Amino acid sequence: MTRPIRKLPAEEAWREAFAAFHAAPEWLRAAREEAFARFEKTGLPTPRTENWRWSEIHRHLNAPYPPLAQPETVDEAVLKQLMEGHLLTAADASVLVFVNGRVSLEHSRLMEEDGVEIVPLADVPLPPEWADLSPANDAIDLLNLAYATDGALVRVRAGVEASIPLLVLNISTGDGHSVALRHFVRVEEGASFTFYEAQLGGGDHVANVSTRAIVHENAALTRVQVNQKKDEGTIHFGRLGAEVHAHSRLHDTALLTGGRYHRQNTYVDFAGEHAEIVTNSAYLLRSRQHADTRLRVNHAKAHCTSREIFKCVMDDHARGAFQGLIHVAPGASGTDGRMGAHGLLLGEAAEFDSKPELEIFHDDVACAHGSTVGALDEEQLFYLRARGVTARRARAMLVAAYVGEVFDDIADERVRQALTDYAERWLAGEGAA
Amino acid sequence: MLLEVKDLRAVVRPEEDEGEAKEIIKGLSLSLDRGEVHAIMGPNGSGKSTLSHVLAGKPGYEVTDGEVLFDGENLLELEPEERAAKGLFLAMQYPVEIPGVPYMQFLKVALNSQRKLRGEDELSTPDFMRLVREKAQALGISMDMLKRPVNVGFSGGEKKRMEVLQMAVLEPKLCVLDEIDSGLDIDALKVVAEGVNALRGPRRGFLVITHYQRLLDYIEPDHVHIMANGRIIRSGGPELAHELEREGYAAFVEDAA
Repeated sequence: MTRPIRKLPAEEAWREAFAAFHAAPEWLRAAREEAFARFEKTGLPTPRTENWRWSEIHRHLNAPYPPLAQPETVDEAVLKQLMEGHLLTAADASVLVFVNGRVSLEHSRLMEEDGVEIVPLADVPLPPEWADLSPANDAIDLLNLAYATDGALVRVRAGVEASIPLLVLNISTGDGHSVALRHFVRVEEGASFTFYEAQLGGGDHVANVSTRAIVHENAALTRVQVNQKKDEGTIHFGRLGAEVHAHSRLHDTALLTGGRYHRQNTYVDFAGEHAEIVTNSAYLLRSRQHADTRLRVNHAKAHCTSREIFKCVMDDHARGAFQGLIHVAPGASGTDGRMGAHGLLLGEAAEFDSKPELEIFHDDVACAHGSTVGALDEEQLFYLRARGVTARRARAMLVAAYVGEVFDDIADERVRQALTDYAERWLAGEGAA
Repeated sequence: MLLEVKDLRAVVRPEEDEGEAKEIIKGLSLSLDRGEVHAIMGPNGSGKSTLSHVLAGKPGYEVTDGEVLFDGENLLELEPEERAAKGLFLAMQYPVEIPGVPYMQFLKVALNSQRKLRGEDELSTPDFMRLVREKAQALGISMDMLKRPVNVGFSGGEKKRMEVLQMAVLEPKLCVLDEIDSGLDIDALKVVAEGVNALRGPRRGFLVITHYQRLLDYIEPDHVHIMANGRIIRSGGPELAHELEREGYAAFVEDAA
């Protein structure tokens, strides 16, 4: 017998707020209403929902977080510190800053490049025919569309190998509310683009940031995401929904080290043959932080390659989780998919749960998955110490070495170095930026 | 005296309260001065490697009695990294692989950590590079190898050659070589021995631990000790190694019993 589960305070708040909720752009209204109606039917996932089994969503959404009606302003000094203190400052990029759900053009720095359009969603007067803002069949993404107050819409025109990356800073602060941003990136045929995303700020609130990407034929998209929220207060829902067409490449890297809770939903669909995706993540968690990824790679087309590496380091009482699925559709010959999820437990009360899965409906494929969990290697520690490296430094070096391969392929050397250096400093006690 | 071991007793700490602590070193004494090369030979299980681990401060062992003075200082009170900074180097029988840490970075952190622990200034990157290039060249080690992660995918010979490079760069006062000949063919052995011999000098001591006399043809000792059952049962000059080679360990061990 199943008993109905009491609705969470957060869910109740989100259900109640919609009738009175208004946000630009007006043309999104019908889509929002439809998304909200779908959310009303399904509700939030429960502890019994398989894809959320380790997410502890009920523990974290146990307070109301109504949508923020007006963007709260943030003290200039605080904002400056956030904007200058994060790990992606090393990127030589255009910067688009969102503060509590609304773009702040005065803090942004957009450099013009031919063939690259970057516009804030709330400022677009008519629905652009090139942007697809439709939601995934997922409660959090339905809520995201229903309550999104802004986002970056990016179009890279066919054949344009953009030389200026875009850095989006999703800054949110304060307590007791929720903020939603909806980004869209379209890389047209033969084009290439680099998109950086930093989750910054802090406070006991919910940030729901959804990014949809379409990578057309012979195109390439690189994305690097960091979560450096402060204070271990923020609940972050992150989503990457990507459609990758023939002969194109998506390279996605994430470093999750901030906030109280990060649930990442990454869904990649191959929409053409001979395409390639890499999605790598590092978690560096301490105290009672929680990070949790649901990854689904849909090999719907033949001759596609996917590589997924998750390196998760948990200290103290931190908890990391990974649920990954490589799905190989009938007819997807020549699929090559590899998924690995690995946990390093530094604290005795730390926990890592991992479930990498393969779902294969075709014979002629090469797929593999693996998962390990362990502690720091005592032999390695002693070897370093016997050469004069202090115990503390040796542990930090081994943590950095453990997660290092996640950052190996980042093309911008300064960004790669910044993430690698952070991994080494992290154990010495450095928290978010 | 550079190293003085007096009536040392040590046990292997059992894991998680399983069984009793097993005594491995059972009253061992040894004196080694600067400029000297001492060899310790002994059968498997005689405690040779344990001695080297205890000297270097490897966790998992407990000294129950006796003392070890290094340059007049109580060695056993120091952390492994402090022992290294004071000039003790253990060349390991099985150098450890550390994926993700490039050799060059490892060497630089090691050298500068030691300098820092000694209260010296860190070496600048150009000075460090110059130093390593010079030492690596002398040992026939390519700069390419130094870009690779520590010991990952190295052959047995390469690993040992890199241990010698570490010694050359870190310039310890005492080198403890734990079966540096194990797993080496004769050519690799010669290269490693030449590297070690190049480091011999009046200010440095060597404790060469080996199972086979062969190594001592290449690294010629001043003193030879035979170890059995956790103690040194006989000491002598280089001729002792040849005697041992002719008669085997059994004769010596029985004599001592």
